[in-house]
Formats: sequence, C-alpha cells, structure tokens
Amino acid sequence: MSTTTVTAELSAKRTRTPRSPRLVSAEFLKLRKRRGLVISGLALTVLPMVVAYTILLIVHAANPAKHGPAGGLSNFSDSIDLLMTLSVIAAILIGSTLGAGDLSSGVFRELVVTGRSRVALFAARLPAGLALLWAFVGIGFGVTATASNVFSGSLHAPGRTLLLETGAWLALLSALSLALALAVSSVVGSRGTTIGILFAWQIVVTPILLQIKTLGSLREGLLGAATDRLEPSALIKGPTEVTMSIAAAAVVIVAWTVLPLALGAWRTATRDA
Amino acid sequence: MQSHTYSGRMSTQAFVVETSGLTKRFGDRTAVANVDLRVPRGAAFGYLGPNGAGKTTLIRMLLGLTHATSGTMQLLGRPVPQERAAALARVGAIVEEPRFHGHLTGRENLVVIAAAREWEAHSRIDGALARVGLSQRADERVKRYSLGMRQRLGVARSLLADPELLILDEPTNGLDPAGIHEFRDMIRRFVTEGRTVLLSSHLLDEVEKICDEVAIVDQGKVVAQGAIATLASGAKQTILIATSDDEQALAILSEHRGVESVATESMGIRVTLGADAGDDISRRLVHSGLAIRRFEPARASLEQRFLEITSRLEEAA
Repeated sequence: MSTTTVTAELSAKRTRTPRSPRLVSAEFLKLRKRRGLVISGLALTVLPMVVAYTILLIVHAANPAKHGPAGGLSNFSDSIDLLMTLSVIAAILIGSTLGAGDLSSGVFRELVVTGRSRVALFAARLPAGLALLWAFVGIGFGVTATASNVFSGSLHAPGRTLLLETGAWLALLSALSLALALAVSSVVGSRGTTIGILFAWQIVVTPILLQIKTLGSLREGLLGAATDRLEPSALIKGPTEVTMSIAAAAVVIVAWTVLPLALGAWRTATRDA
Repeated sequence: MQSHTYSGRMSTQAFVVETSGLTKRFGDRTAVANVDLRVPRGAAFGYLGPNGAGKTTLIRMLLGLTHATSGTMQLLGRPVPQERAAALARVGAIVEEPRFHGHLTGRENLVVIAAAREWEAHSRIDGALARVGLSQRADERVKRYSLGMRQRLGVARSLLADPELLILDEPTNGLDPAGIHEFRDMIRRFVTEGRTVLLSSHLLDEVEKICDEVAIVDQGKVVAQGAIATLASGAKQTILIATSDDEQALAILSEHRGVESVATESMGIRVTLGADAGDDISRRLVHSGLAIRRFEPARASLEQRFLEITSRLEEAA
C-alpha cells in the first residue's frame, strides 16, 4: 500500500529547498539524452582534433624530413582556429535546442502549468547548456593541448600560460555563442530558424563586416571584433581588422550577452504557452 | 490495492475555482464572454460545451497559459495571476493532448516536471507511475507510447503536485472504450480521495457519467450551471409511446394542443410535451380504440437539456 501525503511543514521546506539546481539538472538531462545533439557536439569538437593530430603524426612518421612534428605552437594555433569555429557551431546547435526544445515539443506549456516562474525556467537553460558545451569543448581542447605538447619534438611547445589563456578564450567564445543562440531561439521559437540566422551572422556576415574598412569604428560594436581583441596574442597570425581597448571589448561583450538574454527572458515570460 | 488520500494542507474555501466577468478576446472575436463560474470543492465538475465554445481558452487563462482580457479569477482561494505560483502548486492539469519530450523516457519526463515543482514531487514519481499502471513501461522512451499511455502519463504528471484540484481538458479524446471506462473510474477515485476535478468536455455522455455538477457553455458564455440532476429535471417531459396502430396514434398526437413535437422511432413514437398533458393523451388514445403497448417517460437527460438550451440560443441569435 502506498500513500500520497503532503505534510504540514511543506511550505517551510519549500522555502528552504533551492529548486534552481534541480531545474538546471533537468535541462541538462533533456540535452544529454538527445543522441543526435551529443554525437554532433562530439563530432564537431573532439573528432576533428583527434583526426587532425592523427594525420599530422602519420605524415611526420612517413616523412620526418618534409613534415615536422605533429605538436608545437604552430600546429596548436592552427588547430585552435579550427576548434574555435567548430565550437561556435556546436554552441549554436546546443543553444538553439535549449531555447526552442520545450516549445517545439509542447512541454513548455506543461512546465508553465506547474506555476514555476517562467524567468526561472529560462534561467536554468544557460548553465545546463554550458555544462554540456564546455564538456565537449574541454575535451577537444584537452586533445589539442596534450598533443601539441607531447608531440612537439624539437619544436617550441605552448606554455602553461598560453594554454590557460587559450582555454579561457575558447570557453568565453563558446559561451557567448551559446547565450546568443539561446536568446534568439527563445525569441523566435524555432530551432531551425535560429541555426540559419546565427550561422549566417557568425560565420558569414560578421567576418565580411569586419573586413569593410569604410565602416570604421562602427565595427567595434560587433561581437566578433570584441572577441578577436581578447584572443591570446600568441595565436594571432596577422594584423587584427579592428583595434579597440580591452574595456571597450568588455562592454561590447556584456551588451551582446545581456541584451539578447533579457529579450529571450522577456519573450519566455510573455508568450502564450 | 493502493490507497491515496489527499492529506495536504487543503484550503478551506467552498469553491476551488471562482471567476467573475472573465473575458478573453482575440481581436474582434470573443472566445470567453463575461464568465462567472464557481466550481465547488470535492466534486467532479463538468465544463460542457460544443467544440469552439471557449472551454480550453478558459482553462488556459486559469492556468496562466494566456492572459485574460478582463475579469478576475481565483484558484484555491488565491487570486491569479497575482498568486499564480502558490495556487498552481496544488493544481494538476492536462490541457488538450498531454505533451512530452519524445526522446526521454516516461520516468525522465516526470523528473523534468518534478524539478519545477516542490522537492517532494520527485518522491511521488514512482507512486504516480504505479497508480496509472505505467511502472513496467516507465523506462521506455515516450515516442514509443500509445495515445492511451500518454494520457495516463499525463495523469501521473498531474499527480506529482498531490493536487487539490485536477483540471482535465478533454481527457478521453482518442481513447478506446476500455480506456475511457478506466479513465472515468480514475476520476471518480480522485473525487473520493477529496480532490476536486474540473473536467472540460464536449461529450455529454461523458460528463453525465462522471460529474456531479456541470456548467454548460456556448459561444463563450456559461448558459446554465448547477447539479446535473437539477439541470436535467428542468428539461421538457418526453414520453415514449407504442400502440396497436402507431399511424393513427401519430395523427391524434399531432393534433393535441399539449404536444410540442412528435417523432417516430423504430420502437414507437417520441412525444415531447409542452405542458403536463400525459394523462389526457393516454385517455384520448384509449378512447380512440388503440391498445397501448408502451407509455413511459423518457429519462430526463443532460443531453436533452443541453440541446434545449443551445437550440434556444441559436434561435435567439
């Protein structure tokens, strides 16, 4: 015999027990159980690094005179360039799923019916998405950092400071893309549309705008210009398109994070469920 | 056998749902018009109306899924949307078809909802699954569930709140007869436990079999409200008659001033009386030399009352 009971102390317990960690955990569960998303995330962040270093190792072993060691700073820089682009793509995929998943499945309505604050429901998505995204990016970065040191041979290997700076920069870059994707998908309510908009913006439009010199200082308002400013100097190969102060870059990054997220939270709070 | 008794801190108001002048407009169209509704505690209450009458819109407003254009609402004695979170903490609901994440199992879907509710909701998951008979299938992905299983999982999800009030919107849609029967029994058990069930439906038979009280809604307005027996007793008297010569009987009945309408059926004649003319009709039939083989009042049904009310409204329009 089982009994469904509610005790008189419930209301007191309710105020003591934080529910946000459970909401984050539930969001994380929804994400990690999407096989396609997990496979895509790993395929974008870990697999290319493994493949790249495997090829570098093979060609070096086949002809050491022509092909240098697989590790070293130069190969590290190239592989981080690749990982950066692919991390942004993974972030967009995860962020758009976070923002539109409950809406497209109809579960958003069921969550609203619990009486839980819609803003709290929205707020739980970001940490859950970061947990999954940073796991992928972290593994990919770990492969790159390890291989660039272990297989550096006679080449100069990236030092601990550079590795820390690069790791932090990758984490920031991927988190910003995730936040933007979460915000846009929460506003438009569609994963596919969000992916289309952000792929176009991040991968096509932003690089083009950064190249247009006639835009002048207007380009400082682009998220891409601000994140480029924070890129570790050892990874920068040529002159940067836009020169701006770190403080200005920080303001641009905060604006590109806070405003879209506020818009996403507002839309989540006000839309018909 | 499982025993489930609502033992939470139950609010003491006589009505679990109270609305006053509740209105919802979509542009020029009024979906819910000035509704005053009172759902008494501890009953199965039917919100009955044809498709498009505004039943789901009213429920969506009560649950905070959409905003009311005007009017006030109270759930479990708390004004909504002002105290929506506190009110909904003790409300379970299925709105239209219950929706789930297909890539998660039944149990995981409940975990997701329990995370949005109080801490104890998580400990109710196993009991709720057992109660709706889904324990054995709880770890299968929901996309493999039949519609009936999804409906049952929807009920299990509603029970995570240990609800004082269950709001069920067309809960038997798509269920087979056995599933419908099972669902009716389940709802009655909820009422026995002290919970209140607000059931919206366009199925008269369903509401009549499950509910104690009913509100009839048409074109966004509540047109009648009260106990089913009271409402049905307000229906016009109908008599089923069979004689040795139904054609002659039909002619006599058609000319009788107390008869409002007559219709032949396979088993005889259905007569609707405008006044208490039953005795006079039987006398006339006998005096005409007809042998009366059947003369019985048709059971006053909610359906009859519903059709009377809605047809009157159509005529008025």
